[in-house]
Amino acid sequence: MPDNILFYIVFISQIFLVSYYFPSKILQNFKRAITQYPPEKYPKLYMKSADYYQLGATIYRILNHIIILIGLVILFSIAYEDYSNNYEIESGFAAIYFFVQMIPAFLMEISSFSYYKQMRKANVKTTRTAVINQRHLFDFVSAKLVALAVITNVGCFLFFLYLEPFEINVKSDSFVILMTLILSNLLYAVIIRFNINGKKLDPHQDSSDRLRQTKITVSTLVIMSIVASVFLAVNEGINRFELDHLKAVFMSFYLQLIAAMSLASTLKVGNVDKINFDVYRDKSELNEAPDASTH
Amino acid sequence: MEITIDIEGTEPLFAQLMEQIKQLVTGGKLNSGDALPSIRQLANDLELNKKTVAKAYGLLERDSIIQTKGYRGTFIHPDAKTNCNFDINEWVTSKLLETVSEFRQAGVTDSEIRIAFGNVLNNRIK
Repeated sequence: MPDNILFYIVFISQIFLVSYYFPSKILQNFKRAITQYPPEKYPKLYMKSADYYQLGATIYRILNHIIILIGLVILFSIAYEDYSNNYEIESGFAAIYFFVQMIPAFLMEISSFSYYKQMRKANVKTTRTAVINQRHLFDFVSAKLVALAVITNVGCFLFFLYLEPFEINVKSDSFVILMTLILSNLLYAVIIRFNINGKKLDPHQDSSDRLRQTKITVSTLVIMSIVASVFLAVNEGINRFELDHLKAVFMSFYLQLIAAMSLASTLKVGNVDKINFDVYRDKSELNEAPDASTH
Repeated sequence: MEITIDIEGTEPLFAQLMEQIKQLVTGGKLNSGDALPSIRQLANDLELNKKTVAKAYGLLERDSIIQTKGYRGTFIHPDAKTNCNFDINEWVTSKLLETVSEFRQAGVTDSEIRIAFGNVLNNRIK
Protein backbone atom coordinates (compact mmCIF):
# COMPACT_ATOMS: atom_id res chain seq x y z
CA MET A 1 0.00 0.00 0.00
CA PRO A 2 2.75 2.57 0.80
CA ASP A 3 4.01 2.02 -2.76
CA ASN A 4 0.57 2.81 -4.11
CA ILE A 5 0.35 5.93 -1.96
CA LEU A 6 3.65 7.14 -3.38
CA PHE A 7 2.35 6.52 -6.88
CA TYR A 8 -0.91 8.38 -6.09
CA ILE A 9 1.05 11.38 -4.85
CA VAL A 10 3.31 11.40 -7.90
CA PHE A 11 0.38 10.88 -10.27
CA ILE A 12 -1.58 13.74 -8.66
CA SER A 13 1.53 15.85 -9.16
CA GLN A 14 1.58 14.78 -12.82
CA ILE A 15 -2.07 15.81 -13.26
CA PHE A 16 -1.51 19.15 -11.53
CA LEU A 17 1.80 20.10 -13.12
CA VAL A 18 1.17 19.12 -16.71
CA SER A 19 -2.53 19.92 -17.05
CA TYR A 20 -3.02 22.77 -14.60
CA TYR A 21 0.11 24.65 -13.53
CA PHE A 22 1.93 25.06 -16.84
CA PRO A 23 -1.18 25.57 -19.00
CA SER A 24 -2.39 28.31 -16.61
CA LYS A 25 1.01 30.02 -16.89
CA ILE A 26 0.82 29.81 -20.67
CA LEU A 27 -2.69 31.27 -20.64
CA GLN A 28 -1.60 34.12 -18.31
CA ASN A 29 1.23 34.93 -20.70
CA PHE A 30 -1.15 34.88 -23.64
CA LYS A 31 -3.63 37.17 -21.85
CA ARG A 32 -0.88 39.67 -21.11
CA ALA A 33 0.25 39.61 -24.73
CA ILE A 34 -3.27 40.30 -26.04
CA THR A 35 -3.83 43.09 -23.47
CA GLN A 36 -0.47 44.87 -23.77
CA TYR A 37 -0.02 44.39 -27.50
CA PRO A 38 -3.45 44.80 -29.09
CA PRO A 39 -4.07 44.35 -32.84
CA GLU A 40 -4.72 48.08 -33.39
CA LYS A 41 -1.14 48.92 -32.43
CA TYR A 42 0.59 45.69 -33.41
CA PRO A 43 -1.13 44.58 -36.60
CA LYS A 44 1.71 42.36 -37.78
CA LEU A 45 1.24 40.15 -34.72
CA TYR A 46 -2.36 39.24 -35.59
CA MET A 47 -3.07 37.22 -38.71
CA LYS A 48 -6.72 36.90 -37.64
CA SER A 49 -8.90 38.78 -35.17
CA ALA A 50 -8.06 38.86 -31.47
CA ASP A 51 -11.34 37.00 -30.83
CA TYR A 52 -10.06 34.09 -32.90
CA TYR A 53 -7.01 33.74 -30.68
CA GLN A 54 -9.14 34.19 -27.55
CA LEU A 55 -11.26 31.28 -28.78
CA GLY A 56 -8.12 29.20 -29.23
CA ALA A 57 -7.08 30.00 -25.66
CA THR A 58 -10.53 29.01 -24.38
CA ILE A 59 -10.37 25.69 -26.24
CA TYR A 60 -6.89 25.11 -24.82
CA ARG A 61 -8.17 25.78 -21.28
CA ILE A 62 -11.23 23.55 -21.66
CA LEU A 63 -9.14 20.71 -23.14
CA ASN A 64 -6.79 20.84 -20.16
CA HIS A 65 -9.69 20.84 -17.71
CA ILE A 66 -11.18 17.77 -19.43
CA ILE A 67 -7.79 16.07 -19.23
CA ILE A 68 -7.57 16.86 -15.50
CA LEU A 69 -10.95 15.16 -15.06
CA ILE A 70 -9.74 12.15 -17.04
CA GLY A 71 -6.66 12.01 -14.81
CA LEU A 72 -8.79 12.03 -11.66
CA VAL A 73 -11.00 9.28 -13.09
CA ILE A 74 -7.90 7.18 -13.83
CA LEU A 75 -6.60 7.84 -10.32
CA PHE A 76 -9.83 6.78 -8.68
CA SER A 77 -10.14 3.72 -10.90
CA ILE A 78 -6.58 2.64 -10.01
CA ALA A 79 -7.38 3.16 -6.31
CA TYR A 80 -10.70 1.33 -6.64
CA GLU A 81 -9.34 -1.63 -8.63
CA ASP A 82 -6.17 -1.88 -6.54
CA TYR A 83 -3.43 -2.80 -8.99
CA SER A 84 -0.92 -3.11 -6.18
CA ASN A 85 0.25 -6.44 -7.55
CA ASN A 86 0.59 -5.21 -11.09
CA TYR A 87 2.84 -2.21 -11.33
CA GLU A 88 2.96 -2.48 -15.11
CA ILE A 89 -0.65 -1.31 -15.28
CA GLU A 90 0.03 1.74 -13.13
CA SER A 91 3.11 2.50 -15.20
CA GLY A 92 1.10 2.07 -18.38
CA PHE A 93 -1.63 4.40 -17.13
CA ALA A 94 0.94 7.07 -16.29
CA ALA A 95 2.50 6.83 -19.75
CA ILE A 96 -0.74 6.75 -21.73
CA TYR A 97 -2.22 9.58 -19.66
CA PHE A 98 0.92 11.61 -20.30
CA PHE A 99 0.40 11.35 -24.05
CA VAL A 100 -3.19 12.53 -23.57
CA GLN A 101 -1.91 15.42 -21.43
CA MET A 102 0.44 16.53 -24.19
CA ILE A 103 -2.33 16.76 -26.81
CA PRO A 104 -3.08 20.47 -26.09
CA ALA A 105 0.62 21.32 -26.29
CA PHE A 106 0.92 19.37 -29.52
CA LEU A 107 -2.10 21.19 -31.00
CA MET A 108 -0.62 24.51 -29.90
CA GLU A 109 2.64 23.64 -31.66
CA ILE A 110 0.85 22.68 -34.88
CA SER A 111 -1.19 25.90 -34.83
CA SER A 112 1.98 27.94 -34.28
CA PHE A 113 3.47 26.55 -37.52
CA SER A 114 0.30 27.56 -39.34
CA TYR A 115 0.42 31.00 -37.66
CA TYR A 116 3.99 31.65 -38.76
CA LYS A 117 3.21 30.46 -42.28
CA GLN A 118 0.40 33.02 -42.47
CA MET A 119 2.77 35.64 -41.10
CA ARG A 120 5.34 34.90 -43.82
CA LYS A 121 2.64 35.03 -46.48
CA ALA A 122 1.36 38.39 -45.21
CA ASN A 123 4.84 39.89 -45.00
CA VAL A 124 5.11 42.52 -47.72
CA LYS A 125 8.50 43.86 -46.65
CA THR A 126 10.96 43.81 -49.56
CA THR A 127 14.07 44.20 -47.40
CA ARG A 128 15.67 41.30 -45.58
CA THR A 129 18.19 41.54 -42.81
CA ALA A 130 20.69 39.06 -41.42
CA VAL A 131 23.32 39.17 -38.73
CA ILE A 132 26.70 38.59 -40.32
CA ASN A 133 28.32 36.14 -37.95
CA GLN A 134 28.65 32.38 -37.74
CA ARG A 135 26.39 30.46 -35.41
CA HIS A 136 27.82 27.36 -33.75
CA LEU A 137 26.35 24.86 -31.31
CA PHE A 138 28.54 26.16 -28.48
CA ASP A 139 27.21 29.70 -28.95
CA PHE A 140 23.94 28.37 -27.51
CA VAL A 141 24.88 25.66 -25.06
CA SER A 142 27.94 25.08 -22.91
CA ALA A 143 30.48 22.51 -24.03
CA LYS A 144 30.27 20.93 -20.56
CA LEU A 145 26.55 20.23 -20.98
CA VAL A 146 27.11 18.70 -24.40
CA ALA A 147 29.96 16.61 -22.99
CA LEU A 148 27.65 15.45 -20.19
CA ALA A 149 25.03 14.47 -22.77
CA VAL A 150 27.61 12.45 -24.67
CA ILE A 151 28.83 10.78 -21.46
CA THR A 152 25.34 9.84 -20.25
CA ASN A 153 24.29 8.50 -23.64
CA VAL A 154 27.48 6.49 -24.10
CA GLY A 155 27.17 5.35 -20.48
CA CYS A 156 23.60 4.19 -21.11
CA PHE A 157 24.69 2.38 -24.26
CA LEU A 158 27.53 0.60 -22.45
CA PHE A 159 25.23 -0.23 -19.53
CA PHE A 160 22.84 -2.03 -21.88
CA LEU A 161 25.71 -3.81 -23.60
CA TYR A 162 26.96 -4.93 -20.18
CA LEU A 163 23.53 -6.32 -19.36
CA GLU A 164 23.29 -8.31 -22.60
CA PRO A 165 26.34 -9.16 -22.15
CA PHE A 166 28.17 -7.27 -24.91
CA GLU A 167 26.15 -8.99 -27.60
CA ILE A 168 23.62 -7.18 -29.70
CA ASN A 169 20.52 -9.27 -30.30
CA VAL A 170 18.17 -7.44 -32.67
CA LYS A 171 15.15 -9.21 -31.16
CA SER A 172 15.88 -8.11 -27.60
CA ASP A 173 14.15 -5.29 -25.74
CA SER A 174 17.55 -3.75 -25.09
CA PHE A 175 18.15 -3.38 -28.82
CA VAL A 176 14.80 -1.67 -29.25
CA ILE A 177 15.55 0.66 -26.35
CA LEU A 178 18.97 1.53 -27.72
CA MET A 179 17.57 2.19 -31.19
CA THR A 180 14.95 4.46 -29.57
CA LEU A 181 17.73 6.32 -27.79
CA ILE A 182 19.74 6.74 -30.99
CA LEU A 183 16.73 7.85 -33.02
CA SER A 184 15.57 10.34 -30.40
CA ASN A 185 19.06 11.85 -30.23
CA LEU A 186 19.11 12.09 -34.00
CA LEU A 187 15.76 13.88 -33.87
CA TYR A 188 17.11 16.30 -31.26
CA ALA A 189 20.16 16.92 -33.45
CA VAL A 190 17.96 17.72 -36.46
CA ILE A 191 15.81 20.11 -34.41
CA ILE A 192 18.92 21.79 -32.98
CA ARG A 193 20.43 22.14 -36.45
CA PHE A 194 17.18 23.62 -37.76
CA ASN A 195 17.03 26.12 -34.90
CA ILE A 196 20.64 27.22 -35.36
CA ASN A 197 20.90 27.36 -39.16
CA GLY A 198 17.39 26.95 -40.46
CA LYS A 199 14.95 29.49 -41.84
CA LYS A 200 13.36 32.04 -39.60
CA LEU A 201 9.78 31.02 -38.92
CA ASP A 202 8.73 34.51 -37.82
CA PRO A 203 9.79 36.95 -40.57
CA HIS A 204 9.61 39.95 -38.23
CA GLN A 205 11.42 38.42 -35.26
CA ASP A 206 14.20 40.52 -33.77
CA SER A 207 17.65 38.93 -34.13
CA SER A 208 18.29 39.03 -30.36
CA ASP A 209 14.94 37.30 -29.74
CA ARG A 210 15.90 34.64 -32.24
CA LEU A 211 19.22 34.06 -30.49
CA ARG A 212 17.49 33.84 -27.12
CA GLN A 213 14.91 31.40 -28.48
CA THR A 214 17.61 29.24 -30.05
CA LYS A 215 19.58 29.20 -26.80
CA ILE A 216 16.57 28.06 -24.77
CA THR A 217 15.55 25.40 -27.30
CA VAL A 218 19.05 23.96 -27.75
CA SER A 219 19.79 23.83 -24.00
CA THR A 220 16.43 22.18 -23.32
CA LEU A 221 16.99 19.50 -25.96
CA VAL A 222 20.48 18.70 -24.70
CA ILE A 223 19.15 18.37 -21.14
CA MET A 224 16.29 16.18 -22.39
CA SER A 225 18.84 13.91 -24.05
CA ILE A 226 20.69 13.56 -20.73
CA VAL A 227 17.47 12.89 -18.82
CA ALA A 228 16.26 10.32 -21.41
CA SER A 229 19.49 8.31 -21.28
CA VAL A 230 19.53 8.35 -17.46
CA PHE A 231 15.85 7.34 -17.39
CA LEU A 232 16.37 4.39 -19.74
CA ALA A 233 19.32 3.12 -17.73
CA VAL A 234 17.56 3.53 -14.35
CA ASN A 235 14.36 1.98 -15.72
CA GLU A 236 16.27 -1.05 -16.93
CA GLY A 237 17.98 -1.23 -13.55
CA ILE A 238 14.55 -1.23 -11.87
CA ASN A 239 13.51 -4.15 -14.10
CA ARG A 240 16.69 -6.12 -13.54
CA PHE A 241 16.89 -5.60 -9.79
CA GLU A 242 13.19 -6.35 -9.29
CA LEU A 243 12.24 -2.97 -7.91
CA ASP A 244 8.94 -3.13 -9.78
CA HIS A 245 7.11 -1.26 -7.03
CA LEU A 246 9.06 1.84 -8.02
CA LYS A 247 8.48 1.49 -11.75
CA ALA A 248 5.23 3.46 -12.03
CA VAL A 249 6.47 6.15 -9.64
CA PHE A 250 9.68 6.56 -11.60
CA MET A 251 7.83 6.59 -14.93
CA SER A 252 5.42 9.31 -13.79
CA PHE A 253 8.27 11.35 -12.31
CA TYR A 254 10.26 11.14 -15.53
CA LEU A 255 7.28 12.11 -17.68
CA GLN A 256 6.57 15.12 -15.47
CA LEU A 257 10.20 16.15 -15.84
CA ILE A 258 10.01 15.93 -19.63
CA ALA A 259 6.75 17.87 -19.72
CA ALA A 260 8.07 20.50 -17.29
CA MET A 261 11.20 21.06 -19.38
CA SER A 262 9.23 21.27 -22.61
CA LEU A 263 6.49 23.57 -21.30
CA ALA A 264 8.91 25.73 -19.30
CA SER A 265 10.91 26.18 -22.49
CA THR A 266 7.73 27.29 -24.31
CA LEU A 267 7.04 29.78 -21.52
CA LYS A 268 10.56 31.19 -21.55
CA VAL A 269 10.59 31.64 -25.33
CA GLY A 270 7.17 33.30 -25.28
CA ASN A 271 7.79 35.49 -22.22
CA VAL A 272 6.18 38.82 -23.16
CA ASP A 273 8.59 40.73 -20.92
CA LYS A 274 11.57 39.63 -23.00
CA ILE A 275 10.26 39.91 -26.56
CA ASN A 276 10.79 43.01 -28.69
CA PHE A 277 7.27 43.71 -29.93
CA ASP A 278 8.20 46.89 -31.85
CA VAL A 279 8.91 44.71 -34.88
CA TYR A 280 5.17 43.93 -35.11
CA ARG A 281 4.09 47.55 -35.27
CA ASP A 282 3.16 49.41 -38.41
CA LYS A 283 6.02 51.55 -39.73
CA SER A 284 4.08 54.75 -38.99
CA GLU A 285 3.52 53.66 -35.37
CA LEU A 286 7.27 53.33 -34.80
CA ASN A 287 7.60 57.11 -34.70
CA GLU A 288 5.44 57.22 -31.58
CA ALA A 289 6.96 56.68 -28.14
CA PRO A 290 7.14 52.93 -27.41
CA ASP A 291 4.97 51.31 -24.73
CA ALA A 292 6.55 51.12 -21.32
CA SER A 293 6.22 47.33 -21.45
CA THR A 294 8.45 46.88 -24.50
CA HIS A 295 12.23 46.87 -24.19
CA MET B 1 26.33 43.79 -37.28
CA GLU B 2 23.69 43.29 -39.93
CA ILE B 3 23.38 43.32 -43.67
CA THR B 4 20.20 44.28 -45.46
CA ILE B 5 19.21 43.45 -49.00
CA ASP B 6 16.27 44.66 -51.01
CA ILE B 7 14.72 41.90 -53.08
CA GLU B 8 13.05 44.47 -55.32
CA GLY B 9 16.14 46.63 -55.72
CA THR B 10 17.62 47.33 -59.16
CA GLU B 11 20.96 45.78 -58.26
CA PRO B 12 21.21 41.97 -58.43
CA LEU B 13 20.96 40.31 -55.02
CA PHE B 14 24.44 38.75 -55.16
CA ALA B 15 25.88 42.19 -56.00
CA GLN B 16 24.05 43.78 -53.04
CA LEU B 17 25.46 41.09 -50.79
CA MET B 18 29.01 41.62 -52.09
CA GLU B 19 28.72 45.38 -51.73
CA GLN B 20 27.46 45.19 -48.14
CA ILE B 21 30.25 42.85 -47.07
CA LYS B 22 32.83 45.11 -48.73
CA GLN B 23 31.34 48.10 -46.91
CA LEU B 24 31.63 46.29 -43.60
CA VAL B 25 35.28 45.54 -44.37
CA THR B 26 36.18 49.07 -45.45
CA GLY B 27 34.21 50.45 -42.48
CA GLY B 28 36.31 48.37 -40.09
CA LYS B 29 33.33 46.38 -38.82
CA LEU B 30 34.68 43.18 -40.36
CA ASN B 31 38.37 42.57 -39.89
CA SER B 32 40.92 40.12 -41.18
CA GLY B 33 40.18 36.63 -39.85
CA ASP B 34 36.57 37.35 -38.82
CA ALA B 35 34.26 34.45 -39.54
CA LEU B 36 31.34 34.80 -41.92
CA PRO B 37 28.17 32.70 -41.77
CA SER B 38 27.99 29.61 -43.93
CA ILE B 39 26.26 29.84 -47.31
CA ARG B 40 23.34 27.80 -45.97
CA GLN B 41 22.96 29.92 -42.84
CA LEU B 42 23.08 33.24 -44.69
CA ALA B 43 20.73 31.98 -47.42
CA ASN B 44 18.21 30.87 -44.78
CA ASP B 45 18.50 34.11 -42.81
CA LEU B 46 18.00 36.27 -45.89
CA GLU B 47 15.50 33.84 -47.45
CA LEU B 48 17.58 33.68 -50.60
CA ASN B 49 18.50 30.83 -52.87
CA LYS B 50 21.76 29.17 -51.76
CA LYS B 51 23.15 29.69 -55.27
CA THR B 52 22.81 33.47 -54.91
CA VAL B 53 24.84 33.49 -51.72
CA ALA B 54 27.30 30.97 -53.20
CA LYS B 55 27.82 33.26 -56.21
CA ALA B 56 28.47 36.27 -53.97
CA TYR B 57 30.92 34.29 -51.84
CA GLY B 58 32.60 32.88 -54.95
CA LEU B 59 33.18 36.34 -56.39
CA LEU B 60 34.36 37.73 -53.05
CA GLU B 61 36.83 34.89 -52.83
CA ARG B 62 38.01 35.53 -56.38
CA ASP B 63 38.61 39.18 -55.38
CA SER B 64 40.46 38.02 -52.23
CA ILE B 65 37.99 39.71 -49.87
CA ILE B 66 37.17 36.39 -48.18
CA GLN B 67 38.80 32.98 -48.01
CA THR B 68 37.25 29.59 -47.47
CA LYS B 69 39.07 27.20 -45.18
CA GLY B 70 37.20 23.97 -45.90
CA TYR B 71 35.06 22.67 -43.04
CA ARG B 72 36.22 25.47 -40.75
CA GLY B 73 34.19 27.96 -42.74
CA THR B 74 34.63 31.30 -44.46
CA PHE B 75 36.74 34.15 -43.13
CA ILE B 76 37.75 37.68 -44.09
CA HIS B 77 40.95 37.66 -46.14
CA PRO B 78 44.08 39.16 -44.51
CA ASP B 79 44.32 41.74 -47.33
CA ALA B 80 40.57 42.29 -47.62
CA LYS B 81 40.68 46.02 -46.84
CA THR B 82 43.21 46.71 -49.61
CA ASN B 83 41.47 44.42 -52.07
CA CYS B 84 38.10 46.11 -51.47
CA ASN B 85 39.46 49.16 -53.30
CA PHE B 86 40.37 47.09 -56.33
CA ASP B 87 37.53 46.92 -58.81
CA ILE B 88 38.09 44.01 -61.13
CA ASN B 89 35.65 45.31 -63.71
CA GLU B 90 37.50 48.62 -63.92
CA TRP B 91 40.75 46.71 -64.37
CA VAL B 92 39.27 44.60 -67.18
CA THR B 93 37.94 47.73 -68.88
CA SER B 94 41.29 49.55 -68.69
CA LYS B 95 43.19 46.48 -69.99
CA LEU B 96 40.78 46.10 -72.86
CA LEU B 97 41.08 49.80 -73.70
CA GLU B 98 44.88 49.48 -73.90
CA THR B 99 44.70 46.37 -76.05
CA VAL B 100 42.00 47.69 -78.39
CA SER B 101 43.96 50.97 -78.83
CA GLU B 102 47.05 48.95 -79.80
CA PHE B 103 45.07 46.96 -82.36
CA ARG B 104 43.55 50.07 -83.89
CA GLN B 105 46.96 51.71 -84.13
CA ALA B 106 48.15 48.60 -85.99
CA GLY B 107 45.27 49.05 -88.45
CA VAL B 108 43.08 46.19 -87.30
CA THR B 109 39.40 46.88 -88.00
CA ASP B 110 36.72 46.79 -85.28
CA SER B 111 34.96 43.79 -86.86
CA GLU B 112 38.28 41.88 -87.03
CA ILE B 113 38.78 42.69 -83.33
CA ARG B 114 35.24 41.48 -82.48
CA ILE B 115 35.70 38.20 -84.42
CA ALA B 116 39.07 37.51 -82.79
CA PHE B 117 37.66 38.37 -79.34
CA GLY B 118 34.72 36.04 -79.87
CA ASN B 119 37.00 33.20 -81.05
CA VAL B 120 39.26 33.56 -78.01
CA LEU B 121 36.32 33.74 -75.58
CA ASN B 122 34.72 30.66 -77.07
CA ASN B 123 38.03 28.78 -76.98
CA ARG B 124 38.08 28.34 -80.74
CA ILE B 125 41.76 29.40 -80.74
CA LYS B 126 44.03 27.70 -78.19
